[in-house]
Amino acid sequence: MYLRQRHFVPLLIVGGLLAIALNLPGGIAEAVKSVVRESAAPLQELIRMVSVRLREGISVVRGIGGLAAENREMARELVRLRVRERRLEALERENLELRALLKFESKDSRKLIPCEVIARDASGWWQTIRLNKGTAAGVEKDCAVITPDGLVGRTVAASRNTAEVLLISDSACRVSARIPRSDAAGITVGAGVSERGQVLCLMKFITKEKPAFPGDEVVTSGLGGVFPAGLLIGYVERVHLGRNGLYQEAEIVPRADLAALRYVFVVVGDNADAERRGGAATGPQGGGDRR
Amino acid sequence: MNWVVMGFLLLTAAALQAVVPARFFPLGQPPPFMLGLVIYYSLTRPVRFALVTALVAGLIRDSLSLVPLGYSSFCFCVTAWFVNRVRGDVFTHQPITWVLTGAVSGAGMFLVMAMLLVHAGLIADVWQRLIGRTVWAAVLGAVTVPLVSRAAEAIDARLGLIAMRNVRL
Repeated sequence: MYLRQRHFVPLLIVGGLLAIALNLPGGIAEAVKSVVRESAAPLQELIRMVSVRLREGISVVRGIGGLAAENREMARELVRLRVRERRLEALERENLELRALLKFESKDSRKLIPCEVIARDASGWWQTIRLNKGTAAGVEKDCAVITPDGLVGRTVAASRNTAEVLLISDSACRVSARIPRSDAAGITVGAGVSERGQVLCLMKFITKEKPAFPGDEVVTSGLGGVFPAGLLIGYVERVHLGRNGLYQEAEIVPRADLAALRYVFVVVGDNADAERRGGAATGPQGGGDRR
Repeated sequence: MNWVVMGFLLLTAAALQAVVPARFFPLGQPPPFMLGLVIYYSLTRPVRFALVTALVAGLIRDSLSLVPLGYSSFCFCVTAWFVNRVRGDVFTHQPITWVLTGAVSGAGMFLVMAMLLVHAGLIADVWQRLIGRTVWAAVLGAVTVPLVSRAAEAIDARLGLIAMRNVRL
């Protein structure tokens, strides 16, 4: 009989350890995970740095011929951005003056923490990324994560020097959203990748009275307390009726390139925001914005 | 020395598995480098070594993802125990053995993990494209496991942990 053989003892020991690991209380399991994440982070950062340098080297060699054209295009872009910045400065001044006249107080005490993406989900079951900053830099659980292009996701776990971000393309990530053109509201959930390899989200529960059209901009509504209002999520690709025929559903193509993220910003709120988020559910199934 | 090398290889495999750009791999599944190491050690080392490798590999893998602690360890341990049991009946140094073991283990581990995660209520939409994803897991296993095994074998040979004559570099 197999159990009588010498394999029995190691099998028993490993089985016991496995049972302990499977039944660890949530807090201790999270602490164990944090220790492993912290230990693996330097190695991941090193591997990532080498791969980035390698890629950059290849792209430099490939792009030598196009450098002059690229330089001209960047100069044009710089001029365009300077003109736009001047216009925005004037608008900001005007906005501040009007707010002062109306005695409005600025309630936006959020700050952005720049982070580098060092890894992705090792299991393949969720669409997550790992950042190189954690609680030591002020990154907490349930913070919005953005790029200059738009919303990326939210933090679902944070250790001292790393943070896990659930991407908006994951079906466990729900964001309260609206279409500014028609003021239609709904909830976006991740829908994975289309047949054409395009990352998609699905905006659900859009009332039929407020039609959505391809090309419409979709932004966060700010409801739920995790994602600040007005962050660009993406653009409507296709609209169809939901299964029950009561609501519309819109396929959204995220503006941020979720497949090639390198630098992101974590939006950190003030203490009041953190307290409001205090009741947020844990883990990926916790959803995101709650409506 | 065996334990140190195993720990280093596991950490490197975990880091590589998490760093590989997702866009290169359809269906969001990264290549199973860690599974490759678990199978390699199961085919070439005593059962206690294989089981400890599987346990540690699973803990590392779960820590670097949102999978609850112990799930991957369970899958890896079952794989390691099974492979270790049947290794006497197969040609352990033949590439076809690595390919077949990788394919079966990759697909099996995907399905068992899917059931565990669905049972825990952590994922819901796994049944979409299930056959496609299982086949893809098998393909990834069949390709990755021989490569990882060959690399681990070469490192072991260089360090004098196994006989050099067994290895075709």
